[in-house]
Amino acid sequence: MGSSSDQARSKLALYIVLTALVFVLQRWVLNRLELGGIVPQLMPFAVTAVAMLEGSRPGAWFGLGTGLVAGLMTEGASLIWFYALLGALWGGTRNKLMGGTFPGYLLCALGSILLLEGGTLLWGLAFAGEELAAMVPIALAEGGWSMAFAPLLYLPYWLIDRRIPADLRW
Amino acid sequence: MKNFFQKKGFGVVVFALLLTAAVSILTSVFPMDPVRDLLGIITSPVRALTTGVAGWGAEVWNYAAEHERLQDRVEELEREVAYMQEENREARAALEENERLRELLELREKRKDFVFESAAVTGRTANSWSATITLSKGSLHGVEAGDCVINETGALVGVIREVGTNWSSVTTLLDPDISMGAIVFRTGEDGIVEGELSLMSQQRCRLSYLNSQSALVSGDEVLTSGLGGVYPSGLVVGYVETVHATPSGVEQYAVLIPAADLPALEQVFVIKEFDIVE
Repeated sequence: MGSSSDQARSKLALYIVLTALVFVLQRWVLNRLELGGIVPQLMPFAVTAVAMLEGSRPGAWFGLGTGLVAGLMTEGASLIWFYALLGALWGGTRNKLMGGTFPGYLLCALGSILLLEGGTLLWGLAFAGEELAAMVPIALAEGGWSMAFAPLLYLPYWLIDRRIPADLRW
Repeated sequence: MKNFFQKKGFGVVVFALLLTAAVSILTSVFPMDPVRDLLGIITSPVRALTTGVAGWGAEVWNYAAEHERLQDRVEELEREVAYMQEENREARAALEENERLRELLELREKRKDFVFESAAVTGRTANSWSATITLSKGSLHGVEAGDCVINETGALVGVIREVGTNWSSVTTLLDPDISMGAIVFRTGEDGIVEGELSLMSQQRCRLSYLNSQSALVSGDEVLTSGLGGVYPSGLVVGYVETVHATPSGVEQYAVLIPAADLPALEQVFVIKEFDIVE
């Protein structure tokens, strides 16, 4: 094993590669499956997992970077601050209560989805002139489908953290 | 306070908020900023690769998940084919006498003026709130925002929304952002084709602002009107499935089945030039 900073760099590289795979999965694979017209959202879980394993500040930076790439490619600049916020929020639970545990991750993942769908509903009502009755079924279906993927997504991030225990430093 | 911002990472969130505002302003000032265009170019090979792999995976998944539904659908289609063959025989007999069909044929003659650009579908919407597709052609090939996109049978797929160097994105007929003048071929009534969130997952769109006395029936063909000269006229949008009154009762709207099989699209044609038909 190399020095602590070398380990941290390796760990960050693995997180980035894994998150890129998750992004490809969501952007170009899951949207081709016929899941009732619903596309599960995986990126919030990637940011949540890293934040819970690494803490607030690394989580916020990781969220910012992820949001920057995802936002520029999917036409949603708001993803930049949203993912940074998720990273800061859930990173704050590290080493507290259930922080860093699998049930804790599931709770935070649920929180991420609630924030995402809630924000989308508010945006649609306030700026897009959509009807709540039309939006709620889609938000519920998207949230439900997304949560079905949440447990699976935690595993590879947790394995990276177990393999390389060095903390990310920002 | 300073400590809180440093330790908890909320300083990063504030920075992210400022970055979000900057990117939003940039993208509104420059509809296609160089960074996004570059990302589009860089990810082109990834899109092509994953489209191939995902296409195969999706076929396996969809076959397994929907085998029973597909069997029912096959039986339904067989009945439909038999019915349509009967209808087709009747239509052929009346073809030369039918004034409207002559007009349609004239319109098809005019389509010789269309300049097409063939493009492969390399990506699809990555969320549940819109219905867009990404194409393999962009500004290098003369594609421009606002160009209409059709399938191989001439059925309307959507409108080019955004153009990169070697890619472009299309707002399909199902997307809530689509809005296009249309005309019912049989009756000559006009309306606006719109996407709607509640219809999107059912692969349907709507024809709005129809007169309350409108006498549309299931199966009526809907074409683009071409009014205003922004889009070509006479492109087949879809067929009326059901007709409903609005809550106020002043107007009616029709639910349309798009003529193009949007989920199955692999190859499309961008209409780069067309003659305006007055």
